[in-house]
Amino acid sequence: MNNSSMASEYILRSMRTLKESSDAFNDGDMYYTALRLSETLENMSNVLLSLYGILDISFSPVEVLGFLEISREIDQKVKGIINEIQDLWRQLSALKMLNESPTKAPSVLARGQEMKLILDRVTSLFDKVQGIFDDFHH
Amino acid sequence: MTVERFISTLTEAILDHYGEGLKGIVVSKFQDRYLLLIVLEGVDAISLLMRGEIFNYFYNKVKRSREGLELVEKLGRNPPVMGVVISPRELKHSYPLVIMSLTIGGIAYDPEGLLSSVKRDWKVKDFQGRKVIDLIKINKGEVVEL
Repeated sequence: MNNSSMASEYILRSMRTLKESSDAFNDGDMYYTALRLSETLENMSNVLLSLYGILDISFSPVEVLGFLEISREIDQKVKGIINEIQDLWRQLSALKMLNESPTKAPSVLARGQEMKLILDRVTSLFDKVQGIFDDFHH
Repeated sequence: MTVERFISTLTEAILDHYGEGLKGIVVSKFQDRYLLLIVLEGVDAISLLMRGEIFNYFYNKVKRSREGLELVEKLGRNPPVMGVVISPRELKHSYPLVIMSLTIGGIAYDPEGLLSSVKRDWKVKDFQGRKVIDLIKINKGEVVEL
């Protein structure tokens, strides 16, 4: 293995889960949109970790991004992306622990337009992570 | 600062902000992660997804304090604390997460006794090293309100 091919593998995985997030969203399934989006954020975190030679062994790549921040020379732009990944992941992971069937109006797990905004934010973060991958090699 | 201190600072910040609007807090630990169940008045119309932003606001406030940043450095990661905000009305709807939290967690704040009124004597049982909550014995064909 090398760090770059490992990171590419996680980019591919991110593309897969991002596509599945979109599919779930188009089916109107908010729970699985949240689940696949949080997986996408985990895959994207693994892109950054593997690029910089960090192996997460606690199955919690998003939380371990903090170690990347304190142990490697990374710029402010990457730190901003890390913060956004962590905030979105915390928000989506909370949703993963909830169920739809006990939810009675007016309570709702997520509204379509809100989830669309989050889906767009994760998609834009994915582009940025790909940008970091490209910059890394130049 | 420890993770436990992080949690108490976080709950104090929420109490300072919401005052009487804060109706309860349960702290529980799942594997290596803490979960805060936060009962807030007036959140029914806000989706559970967007309530995540309420929690993130307080989480980041404590994380970005001097002591919070020291904790992140010491842990080598963000404090493993998640939060779910629910309303007093939803508290009665038997979400599995609420049942789990009340069974394995501790009530940290319950000014009006809402949490203790919902809590029942659910039993945690071990099955081959794994844990389950044995809610109720149900026979074939029975549909039971849990």
